[in-house]
Amino acid sequence: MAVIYPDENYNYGFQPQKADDLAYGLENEKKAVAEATEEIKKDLLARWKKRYADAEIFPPKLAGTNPEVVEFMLSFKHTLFYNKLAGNLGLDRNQRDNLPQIVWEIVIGKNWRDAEQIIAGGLGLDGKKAGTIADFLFANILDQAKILSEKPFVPRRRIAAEEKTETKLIAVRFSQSLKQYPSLGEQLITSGPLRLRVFPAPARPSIKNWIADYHENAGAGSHGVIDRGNYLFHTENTRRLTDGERQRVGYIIKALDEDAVVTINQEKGEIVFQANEFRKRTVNEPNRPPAKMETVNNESGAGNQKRESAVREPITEENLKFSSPHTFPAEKRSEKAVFQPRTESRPVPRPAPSFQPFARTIQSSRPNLYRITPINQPGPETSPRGNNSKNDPKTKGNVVDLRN
Amino acid sequence: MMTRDSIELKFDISGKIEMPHLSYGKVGSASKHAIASDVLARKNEDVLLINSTGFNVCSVFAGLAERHIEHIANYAPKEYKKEIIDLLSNIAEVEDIFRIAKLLDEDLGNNSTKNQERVKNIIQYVKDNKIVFEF
Repeated sequence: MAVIYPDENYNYGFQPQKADDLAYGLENEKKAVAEATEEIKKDLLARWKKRYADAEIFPPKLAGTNPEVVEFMLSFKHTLFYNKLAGNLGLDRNQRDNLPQIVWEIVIGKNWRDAEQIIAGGLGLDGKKAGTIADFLFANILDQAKILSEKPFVPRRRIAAEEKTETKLIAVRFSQSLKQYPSLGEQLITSGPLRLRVFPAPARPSIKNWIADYHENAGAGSHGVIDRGNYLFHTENTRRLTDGERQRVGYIIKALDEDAVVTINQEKGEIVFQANEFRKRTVNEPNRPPAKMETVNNESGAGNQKRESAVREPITEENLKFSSPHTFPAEKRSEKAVFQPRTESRPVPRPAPSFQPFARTIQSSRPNLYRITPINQPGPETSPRGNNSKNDPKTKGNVVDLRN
Repeated sequence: MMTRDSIELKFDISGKIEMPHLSYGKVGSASKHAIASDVLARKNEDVLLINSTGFNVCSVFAGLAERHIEHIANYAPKEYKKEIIDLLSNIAEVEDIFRIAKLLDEDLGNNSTKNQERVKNIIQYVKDNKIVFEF
């Protein structure tokens, strides 16, 4: 049997790369990694700033201290200065470590005048040595801190609050918003990764990717409520969403289909989901004329239909109408009671209603037959024959004498 | 379009930026040295990108420069500062920090103590300004 050995000189179609080519490829890769790193750093930094926008950086006891003073006090050179001072004046370890705390105490309390006493007491030194240390401290730290502390300043919390109120929310059409704020497409609206058909690896749950998934499932172009409902509940990616996430996705695809107005935080370049409904009701409605005529778009294809919805007036007895053309007794009564033929075009002033006891109204409208009169005060109608008739029973209080 | 490789690369890079203490393989002096060198070479802003839990790790702290700790004191949220105070309150951890600084000095040769001095001053700085580190 003949054994065929591979020809060692045959290169099987592969061209050996030259050392220069390899170096060039490596260089390119390094460059790509460096560029990607910078890009990722920018992204992480933006997220970090957003995450810690309201973070507590200093403890509350520093809230009343001018931030410039704090920044000055945090200079690294002061640590080196304390080291040198302690070495030159022969302070022990404890005294060295206590000295910065005493300086902070003087600065926060603005106890410039009592600085010498505080140093002497805090470090357990005599007046002369404490005076020397105080002189050095004033020359290097305290004088500058005093100048800075006298400057007017806005407490940190208030600065943060003001910055927060300055963030502008604007209402823009969805298609326009994507053009104006390209970063909007990268906004993450759900937590889990997405599986897109065109993309083998799990994708970020960003607005852009959700739109891609929507178009993959429902097709391109705009869709109706039913399509959106089907998508939101019956696709692989939407099935696992929480209610809140589904609402956000639903909001985006509705905005996409209808090119609706969305609220955008200009500073962050993000869609504001919580404020959307609020803005719809409070911002857009005042600009819209009160409901006089609405155009109802008949989706069934029967054409457009105009429906005139009457401007609502306060309901009074005069304008009380039922929807049916049939006249109910109540309507008749009100017509009888109030209606007066108007002969003039100008409105006839309605006479002020005079108070009439309810019982009397009933009395006049009902037949006498049903009238109830007190027993001891017989009315003329109790008997058609009258009280003087011989055969009529005589009554005395509640006792009726039938003998006569 | 991003490929699987580019996504993995992105995860690698962001992992290294945010969690250098978990990105240099098995825990040992070589990885500690690498983590400290990574942190030391960073810009001030990039140091804050390290997850706050990283500041409770000796090798991360051993890589902090004077400018870094000044930046942390001025801009880091309290969880970062709490981790640092927690780390420095453990003597064994402080010893480990000095050990890593010594490793970095060995690279410099000439019996250099530059990194050990740096670490000593940084610890002293935190002590001097504990008013802004303790909540």
